[in-house]
Amino acid sequence: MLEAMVDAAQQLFTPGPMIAFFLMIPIALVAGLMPGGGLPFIVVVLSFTTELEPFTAFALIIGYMAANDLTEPIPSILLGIPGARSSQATILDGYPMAKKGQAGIAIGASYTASLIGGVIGAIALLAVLPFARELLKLFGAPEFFLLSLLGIASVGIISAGALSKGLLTAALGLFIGMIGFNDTVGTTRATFGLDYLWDGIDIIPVVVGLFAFPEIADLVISNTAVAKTRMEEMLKEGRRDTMRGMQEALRHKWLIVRSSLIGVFIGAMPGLGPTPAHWIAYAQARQTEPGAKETFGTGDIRGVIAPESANNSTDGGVLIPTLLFAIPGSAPMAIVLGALILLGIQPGPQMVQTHLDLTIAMVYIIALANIIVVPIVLLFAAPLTKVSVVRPQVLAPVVIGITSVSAFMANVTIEDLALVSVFAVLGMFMKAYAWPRPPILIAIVLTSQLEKWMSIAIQTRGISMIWQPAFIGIVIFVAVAVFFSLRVQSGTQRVADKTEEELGDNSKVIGSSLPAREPSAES
Amino acid sequence: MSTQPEEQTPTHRKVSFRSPEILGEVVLLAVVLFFAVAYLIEMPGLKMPGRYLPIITIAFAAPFWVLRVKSLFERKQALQSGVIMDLGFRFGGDPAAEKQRAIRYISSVGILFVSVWAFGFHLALPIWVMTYLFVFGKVKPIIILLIGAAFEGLLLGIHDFIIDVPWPEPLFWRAIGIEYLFNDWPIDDTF
Repeated sequence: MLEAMVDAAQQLFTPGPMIAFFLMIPIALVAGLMPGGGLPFIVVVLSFTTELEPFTAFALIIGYMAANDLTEPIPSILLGIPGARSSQATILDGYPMAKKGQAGIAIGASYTASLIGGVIGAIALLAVLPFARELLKLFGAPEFFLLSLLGIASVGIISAGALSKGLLTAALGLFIGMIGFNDTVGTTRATFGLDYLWDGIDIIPVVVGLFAFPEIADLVISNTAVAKTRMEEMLKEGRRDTMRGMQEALRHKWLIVRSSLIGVFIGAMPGLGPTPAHWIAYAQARQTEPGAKETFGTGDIRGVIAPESANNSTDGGVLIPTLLFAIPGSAPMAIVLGALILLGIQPGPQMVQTHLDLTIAMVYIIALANIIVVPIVLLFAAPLTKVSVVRPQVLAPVVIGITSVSAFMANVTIEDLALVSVFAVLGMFMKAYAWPRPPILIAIVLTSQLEKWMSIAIQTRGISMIWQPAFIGIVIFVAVAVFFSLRVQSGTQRVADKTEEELGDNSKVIGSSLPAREPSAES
Repeated sequence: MSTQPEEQTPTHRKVSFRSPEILGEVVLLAVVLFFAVAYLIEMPGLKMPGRYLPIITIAFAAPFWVLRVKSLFERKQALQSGVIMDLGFRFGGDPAAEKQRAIRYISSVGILFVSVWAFGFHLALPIWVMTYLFVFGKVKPIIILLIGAAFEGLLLGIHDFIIDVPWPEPLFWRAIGIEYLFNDWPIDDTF
C-alpha cells in the first residue's frame, strides 16, 4: 500500500498530469458556475481521453469534477441561486447572511468547510482501500455480474423514486447498451441494418444528447436571468470578512467532521449522491447544535458549514462503489467509469491490485483540487460570480457548439450528430416526465463488462452460481441498500419540505422561486 | 421543494388521455417496447450466449411495463416528487413565449446539424454560433467576432493541428466536386 502511494505520487506529480490539472482548474471553475452546470463540458475532456495516458486523463477528469463541485456555494450565498441541487440547503442560511451584509463570512466559512470535507472524503476513500482489497478477493465473475446488474437497477429505482419507472429506465439502458457487436458473446444485436451501430453506442454522444442538450433547453426555454443591480451589491459584500468566516468555521470543527462523515457514507450509496447528503447534514446540525432550531434559516453560520462539508466529502464517497465495485452511482461517476473502460482499465479488483497507484492518484487529485481551488475561489469569488449570470441566449450557442464537436469526435462521422439528436429527444422526454437519465448512461458503460462476467459465470459455475454465499450476500446487501436509499430519499424530501415549512417565508422565497439548475447530474 | 397547490394532497390524480402526462409516458413506454420487440424478433438468429442478457432484461422489465401501462389506462398520475415537470423543465408564467423559445431552440439545433452535414464544421459551426449570438443573444458585434474566431481557432488549432481529425466530406463539397480542404491542413509531415 505504502509502495503504491509513493508510486502514485511519482507518476502524478510529473509535468504531464500537473499541466493538465492546472489547465483544467479555470475551465472547471468557469464551467461549474455557468448556468446549466458543469456536466456538459466533461464530454470535451472525455473526447480526448483515449489520446492521453491514464494519470493525465484522470488528473483532468477527477480534477474537473472536484473543482466543479467547489463552485456551488458562490451563487447560493451571493445570489440565492442554487448552483446545483446539492447547494439548496446552503441558501437557507447563506443567502440571509449575505442579505445581512455577511456574505464574506458565509463564503469564508463555506469554503473552509468544503476544503476540510473534501480532504476527509479523500482520506475515507484511501482508508477503505485495504479493506476493499480483502473483500474483493471473495468476488468472482458471478458476483460482479450480479453487482453490475443490481447496481444499474438500484440506481434506476433510487433516482426515479419509483420502482416501475426506475427498472424500466434501467432496462432501456441495457437495451441500448446491447446494441452492436459484442466480442464476448460473438454476436451482433439490434443494429437495424445500420453499419454505424455495429460498434455499439458510444458514451459521448449519449452524454451530449441525454444531458447537455436538455439542460441547455431548460435554460433557454425558462430564460432565467439574475438582476444585475442585486449582483453588484452582493459582490461588494462577498469580498469582506472571508478570514473571519474561516475562523468561524474552524470553531465548529466537530460539526464539519460529523457532516463530512455523513457525506462520505451517503455518497457511497449508489444513486444517492450529494443532494440527500447535504440535506441530512443540514437536518442533523439543526437537531443537534445548541439553539439551532431557533436560529437556522435566519443566517446561522452553522447552516452553511454543515451542508457544505457534507456536499464536498461525497466526492470521495461516490468513488468507492464506482472504482471498487463498478457501480457508478451517478452520471458523473458513469463518465469516470466510461473513461476507465476507454483506457482499457477494468474497474473492480484491478483498481486495488494492478492499478492501485491510479486509484490512490485519484485520492491525491481530490485532495489537491480542494487545496488549490479553495484559495483561488476565495480570492476571485466576485469575478467568478459574474459567470453565473451569463444570459442563456449567449451561453447556449457556445455550449451547443463545443459539445457538438466533442460528440462528433466519438467516431468522427456525421452519424454521431444524428445519434445526439435521437438522445436529445429522448433526454427531453425523460427530463420532462421525470424518468431518470443516469441509469441509461451507466448501463451503456457497463453492458459489455456485464456480459463478459455473465458469460464467465455461466461457463464456470452454471446455474449453481445463484446458491453461492457471496451471490446471496450481494442480493441481500443490494436489497437493503435500495431500501435504505429510498428511505433516505423520502426522508430528505421530508426534511427539505419540513425545513422550508418551519423556517417560514424566508426559505420559501428562496426555495420556490429559484429551483435547482441541474437535477440530473447527480441523481 | 414541491410547489404543488395545497388542494392536491392525494397521492394520485386522474388525468385526461390527451394530457401531456399521459402522452409523454406513452412515448417512453413505446420506446421500451420497441427495443423489447426488436430483441425478441432477433432472438432466434442470435448465438446462445448473446440471448442471455436480452432475456434477463425483458423478463425483468415486462411486469413493470405492464404495471405502468395499467396505471396509464387508469389515467392515474403520481403527485409525489418526480411528478411531471418537477424534476424536469422549469416553466414560468408565459407559456406562449416559452413555446416560442422551445421551437427556436429545437429548430436552431436542427439547422446547426444540417449545416454541419452540408458544409462541414469549419464553415457551419462558427457561422451558426455568430448568427445565434447576433439574432437571439443581442451581443456586441466585436464579441461575436471574437467568439466566432475562437471556434474557428478551436477547430483549426486543436482538432486539425494537434489531433489531425479526418473530417468526413460534407455534402456541398462533394456536390461541387472539391475535396474538403481542411482534411489536408496542416500540411502533412510538418510535425
